[in-house]
Amino acid sequence: MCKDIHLVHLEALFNPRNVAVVGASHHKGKIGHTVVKNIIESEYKGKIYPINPKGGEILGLKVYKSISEIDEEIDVSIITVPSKIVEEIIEEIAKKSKFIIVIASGFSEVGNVDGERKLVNAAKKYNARILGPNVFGIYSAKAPINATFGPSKIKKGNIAVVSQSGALGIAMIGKVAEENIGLSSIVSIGNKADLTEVEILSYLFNDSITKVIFLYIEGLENGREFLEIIRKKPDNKAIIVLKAGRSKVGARAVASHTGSLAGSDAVFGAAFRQVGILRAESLEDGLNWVTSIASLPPPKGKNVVIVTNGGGLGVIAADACEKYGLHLFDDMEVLRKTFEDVMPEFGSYKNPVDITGQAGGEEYKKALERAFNESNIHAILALYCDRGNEIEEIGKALIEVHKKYENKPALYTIFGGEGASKILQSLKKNKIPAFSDVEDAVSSLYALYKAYEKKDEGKFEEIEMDENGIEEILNKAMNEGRSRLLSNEAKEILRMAGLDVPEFYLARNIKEAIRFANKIGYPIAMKVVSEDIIHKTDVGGVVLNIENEKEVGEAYEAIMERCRRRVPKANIKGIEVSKMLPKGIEVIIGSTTDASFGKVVMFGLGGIYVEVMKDVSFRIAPVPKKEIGRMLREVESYPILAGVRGEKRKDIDAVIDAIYRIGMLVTKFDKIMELDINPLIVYEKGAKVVDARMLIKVKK
Amino acid sequence: MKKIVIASLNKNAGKTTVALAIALKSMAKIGYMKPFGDNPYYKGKKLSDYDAFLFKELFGIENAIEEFCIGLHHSKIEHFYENIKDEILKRYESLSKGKEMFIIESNEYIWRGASIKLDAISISEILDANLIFVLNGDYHEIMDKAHYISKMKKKAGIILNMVEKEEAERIKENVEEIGLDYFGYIPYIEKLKTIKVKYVAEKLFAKVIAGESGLDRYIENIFIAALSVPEIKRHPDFKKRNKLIITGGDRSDVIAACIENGTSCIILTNNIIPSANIIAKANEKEIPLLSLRPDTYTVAKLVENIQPVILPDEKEKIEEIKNMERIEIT
Repeated sequence: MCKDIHLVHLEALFNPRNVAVVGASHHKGKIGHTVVKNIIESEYKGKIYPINPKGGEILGLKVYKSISEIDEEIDVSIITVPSKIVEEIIEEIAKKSKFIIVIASGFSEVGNVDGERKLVNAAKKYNARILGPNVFGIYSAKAPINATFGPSKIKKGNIAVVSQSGALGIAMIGKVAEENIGLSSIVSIGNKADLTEVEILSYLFNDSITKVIFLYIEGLENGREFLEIIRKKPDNKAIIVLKAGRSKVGARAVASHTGSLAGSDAVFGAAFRQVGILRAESLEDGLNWVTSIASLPPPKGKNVVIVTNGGGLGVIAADACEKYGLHLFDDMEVLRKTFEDVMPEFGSYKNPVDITGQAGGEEYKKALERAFNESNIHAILALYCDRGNEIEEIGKALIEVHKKYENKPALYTIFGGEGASKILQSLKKNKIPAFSDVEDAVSSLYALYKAYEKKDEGKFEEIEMDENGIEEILNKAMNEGRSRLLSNEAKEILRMAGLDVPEFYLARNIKEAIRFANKIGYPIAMKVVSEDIIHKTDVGGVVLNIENEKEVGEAYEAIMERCRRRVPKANIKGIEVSKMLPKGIEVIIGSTTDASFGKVVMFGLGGIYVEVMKDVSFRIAPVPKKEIGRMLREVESYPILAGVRGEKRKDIDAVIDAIYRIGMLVTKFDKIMELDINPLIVYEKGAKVVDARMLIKVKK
Repeated sequence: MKKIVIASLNKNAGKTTVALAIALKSMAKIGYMKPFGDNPYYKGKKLSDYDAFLFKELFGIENAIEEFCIGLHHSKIEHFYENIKDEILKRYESLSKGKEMFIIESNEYIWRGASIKLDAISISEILDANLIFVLNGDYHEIMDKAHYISKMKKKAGIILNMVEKEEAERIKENVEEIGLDYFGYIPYIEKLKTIKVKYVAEKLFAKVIAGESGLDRYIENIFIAALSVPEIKRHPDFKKRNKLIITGGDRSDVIAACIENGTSCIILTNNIIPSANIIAKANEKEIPLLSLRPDTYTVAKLVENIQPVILPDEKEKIEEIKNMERIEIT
């Protein structure tokens, strides 16, 4: 999909020449009435066509009995009637309209999938597009038009809100108004039957009014398209995503809420990190971040300075900076030169710059002016502990100095009682990002840094793999109707994909096992091979460190007996004989197929790190090597691989290469649904596959 | 030296119990062999059978554990031993040195091993040993088996297992009429139904994640905790003693409620490890928590399939056999 097409195409939705309100009501308080009222009150310049079979007049506008009475094409038709009627009239509306906004609920979110499909099919027939159903409408500052049934007064600004939840979207209008922040547009996408966040975002990325986008989603059906659009985000736009359905309970609530399938949250988080999406943990964070980004210039460097009148508050802010990875400026010479002569007695120019409890408005003004003027300082955190007096003076000083300098971002924390609230209110009134909690200010500054950070995932490189050989193994299993590959087949595929798989053989009897063991050389490992036994160690199907022929015999017998007794119905193909590898660090590499994003790869350290601690990281496949490096560093147990307590660093490049090849393999061979390399043993030089499992898609 | 082959027509007839009863009653020095094993005891890359482990440990037999058992799987036996008859004789010679009575326990089914001369009849012929069948079941089932044995035209005796005195006397008269030697009976011993937690953990290849010091506890009952905690507490089966409880690893409330007196161990299914406080509580109460990967239904089936054995340190079981057996080998 080309963004320019969206820009041109969606222009009629965001800047319509005319609108029709189907189901316009004569009765105040009805949705059909509120929408007409809001459109009129938003000073919309285009033509408004209220439609109601009763005819007459609504708010001074002529009411049309049917859309067919209108003799021009309609850019946007807003349908405000209930779902059953929508299904009856959709064709008639689609014939006349470019865009149809279906406000009614009662479609896929309550199981009425057929009804929703009917809407989309009718729209497709006449080349119309649908927003919704289950939405509250659209506001666009460009037109301007407020075609929602939410609040009538929406302040114009540079924040775009795109929300899957209608109620949350309406609440956001009120919330940003309280913060004195304006909106460039607010779009409710509801059930996303036709238009999705992908097209809406691609329009907003090119919308000159919008600076920052706040996106609330509950699930994504088209995860990969979404990531592609995010990758095309222009540098001067920022996007914050709040993705609900993090918890298991939350995920269930999501499914019943809008009919959208919430993907696994770990995969969502990984996908967002992969393309550099800033993900808010809470509504409060999201709002703080959006408003700060909307009202502040991006920082030009990493150096942050804290100016405070309370040492304690300064230390809390410094701790928060460390938590969020913000760099506290520490060039003592520059700090001394900048602040020394505006420093009261007992003050400290060390960062946090403590201008002491005696500091009044004038002292704040002087110190902040210095910070604004020093080119080595790139962002300012100004903190004020309310002392109960000089409230007005402080507020005035902060506003004055902030308004004077717009060259760098400054965020404020005002902590205390009634006086602090007053200062906060006056700062917010002047669109200055101000918070009662230091952590909020620091996290907002962090968001400001992250929002403009250009994510470089790295480049893909060509690799060789025996594609025909892989295809052959996969087809054989498919033709036999086996969804689970035998471990020797899985290992063979990995070898063909270029991973280092040590020599192994499938022994069908004891004689063969001994012959293979002698060929490979001792010590060897023996493992049962059966598609019915996934976890071989759980049934006693693995014996390690076998050192001679006699032990091969005993091990063969033990494995066969234990497996036959534990899984009597298992179709045992034989026993895999392979070289026993020396000790190294065991890692797990996996791949699965996610409902939203398709193929994903996983990495974790073996044993308890994965099984107990669930210390794993994901990425959407394929993944460039640079990004795989980040993926590795994301797991808490990474230092074990990097070398701790005198242990030498392991061959991380070999792990990266293995993950890279797995990403490529599962992308090229879509039928591989799940894959596990457990373990991959990593040495100071090289990494070897010990065992593998693979699940493929088999047509029933 | 008296040589006896203990055989049965079906599995779980009680061959080991009978073999043990005979050995305990005899004051002689006991030699033992289970040429074709059926319950793999695989330790230190050496394969034997649990029953061999029992006799070796209990009677202090010095031979290496792997000597007691030629194998458990035809392919290995055939590969390593060209002449199985010679191998049986060789092992017998070594295992019987200095012994006064030699017990050979056969495989779980009468026919198993026949193709490689490791069935009960072949072994009794090779070693010229008396053949004694252990029979269990109700009167009619036992009589069916006895008639079947008499048709083998072999000199054989019988010992009844899990029958009461009156029933044993009735059977005795009838089997003697068809030419079988009657050597006595062992009544039903409740204790033999119990299993130690450590054996369950071993057989299931379970991960012991807590309460290791309680692995010697006995299991008498099984309870699947798939209800809410109040319902579990009310359930009559929950009030039974020495329970093995099976529940999902994520059912923290249930696990916590089950760590109490009367629970021998808890099997946590689906490979989910509970929180540290639950592990600490289990350690404190010495109730083993065993973690397994399969779901609760599969685990329940696996547990159900575990047949009780007698381990060398199960003194109570051994004492009861000693006290209750009514066997006279002439």
